[in-house]
Amino acid sequence: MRTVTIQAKNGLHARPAAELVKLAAASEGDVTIIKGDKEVSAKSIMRLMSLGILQGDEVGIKADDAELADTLADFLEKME
Amino acid sequence: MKRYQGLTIVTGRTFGPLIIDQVEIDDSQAKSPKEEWQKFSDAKNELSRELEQRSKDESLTSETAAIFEAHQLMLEDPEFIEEIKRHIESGLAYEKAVLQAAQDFSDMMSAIEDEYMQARAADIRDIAQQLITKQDLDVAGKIVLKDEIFPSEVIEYSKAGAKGFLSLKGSATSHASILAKNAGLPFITNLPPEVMTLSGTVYLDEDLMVDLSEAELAEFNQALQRDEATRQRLAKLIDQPGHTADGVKRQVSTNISSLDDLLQALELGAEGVALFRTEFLFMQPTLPTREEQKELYRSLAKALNGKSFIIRTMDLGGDKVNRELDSGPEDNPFLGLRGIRLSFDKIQVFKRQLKAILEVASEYPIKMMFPMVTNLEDVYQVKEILAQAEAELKDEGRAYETPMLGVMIEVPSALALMKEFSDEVDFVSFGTNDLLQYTTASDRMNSRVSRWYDPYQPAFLRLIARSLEDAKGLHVGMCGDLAADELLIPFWSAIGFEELGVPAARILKTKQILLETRSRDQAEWVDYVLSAKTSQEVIERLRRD
Repeated sequence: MRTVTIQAKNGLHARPAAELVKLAAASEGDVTIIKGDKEVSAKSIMRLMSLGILQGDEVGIKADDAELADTLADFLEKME
Repeated sequence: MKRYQGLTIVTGRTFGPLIIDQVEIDDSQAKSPKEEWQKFSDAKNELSRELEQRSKDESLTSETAAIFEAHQLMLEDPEFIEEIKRHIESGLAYEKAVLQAAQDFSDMMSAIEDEYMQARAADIRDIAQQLITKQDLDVAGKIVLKDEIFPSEVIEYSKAGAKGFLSLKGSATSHASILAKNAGLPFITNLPPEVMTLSGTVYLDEDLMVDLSEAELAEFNQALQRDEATRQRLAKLIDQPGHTADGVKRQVSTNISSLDDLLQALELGAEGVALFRTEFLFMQPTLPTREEQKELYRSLAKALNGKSFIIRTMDLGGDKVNRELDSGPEDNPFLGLRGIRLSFDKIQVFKRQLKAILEVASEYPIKMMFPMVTNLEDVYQVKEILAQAEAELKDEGRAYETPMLGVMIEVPSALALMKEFSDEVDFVSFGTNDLLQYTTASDRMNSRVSRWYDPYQPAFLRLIARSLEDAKGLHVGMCGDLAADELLIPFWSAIGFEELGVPAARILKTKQILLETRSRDQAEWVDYVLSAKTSQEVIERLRRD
């Protein structure tokens, strides 16, 4: 599992969440995002937003496809 | 008269017949799950087509289009659809299944302790409502009242000619509020529930008003006429170049980050771009190629159609960090490797940007300026790199032109170098946000020191005014927040700022203020302001009290 700390001031708001779902949806396999004790599918924008990912949160990424996990980790770190 | 107060999202004086939009759900008995599922699929496909069309509407800003794109993803959300399917299979009519699923998801969202995230719950309810009802209200010329106004409704109703929105539930950060602000339509939310019993003509200013007496009505109409006169007076200024009452030319430009920003500002009378921030280009996962940059710079220059266009080279660091360009953690990023300093460190990326600008400068008039210049050595080094970029372009056989060059004045030491700058560059532009925070040693993000971050301090204004005495031969502009400060505009004009870069929404107001002030022979007033001892005294003297 990859973990990243969210830098973006507004956290994972609608626009980056939409970008993330599009990246995840391109993969056939399972992709999940973990915050605290909650784990949700990265292909569901509603579940993703319901995690309430905010600045400073530590977030985990699990994916069958290791390259995708890297891409998503990178995205979550750099998003604004 | 009776007044109802709420949370005023967009203030605007208007009136009209009230129309109450109450959602009525077809509550008929559920047919077989198979038929209900079919009805849901049809509704979903239709809405999906509508959303796609809506997000492609070219009159929308990119912000608005992004909202509808997010709606599209919500509609296609596999877990949302799964939940609806589960409810349908348990015997619910599809309308109820959709509402139930939307309720579950929006409750989840509302539980997050963050106002912005809570506001997103409204987007889910918006999707649900669009899936189950068709609204055919005639809202033209009317004020729409609804329990909760959804983003899709702001768009649809404003297109249909609604004059304003009222609602019981809402928030300042909801997408509906953002859209109402963009559309400039009056919007009051969080009104008390008893407004649902109102009817007839309603009146809006800061609040919602009904039952106006004859005298109150006359007063309201007079205020409407005054608004209209002001609007017309300001509208006349759109095509008028900025100047003062005594005929001194003062260019009113704008500051932008995108083509959207520019198009909006041009409609509102911008005379040019005082600052195009390029750093957002460099904050994406992959750095932009030279061709990508050229395409963007070209599109902006083309839209400007010959108007003045200042591109600021990448200003990263401080609060704007890109990982790939990051040079490691610093104890004091604002006093660290930022602006031009970081560009010197990432010389290939910097040179690529210079080349893109130089090439486009051979097609369009462009000016280029550099952030965080601290000393003359910075200018010499920029020129050295610029010469290399030119030599390389020549070798590549590309057409290029050296643009007019400028230095941003945002480090206090630069204030003492105006004479030397005038030998090296064509213009200077004051970045007042950083200049103020560096001059007063107070972090503009730290509310505990906000009383020291004070633009009306005589020391700050004296430093700027004195520096301009040495700026002969330089075109002098300003691109920070203070360029639009209503109290300071006459002062900036009087001490010789020729160009003010202000947000699009402030362009006409700035032109208006300039028209009401004189710029020649103001030395006595300028001295009077500068000889004040305290911030309060400066404010009084700026007001000419």
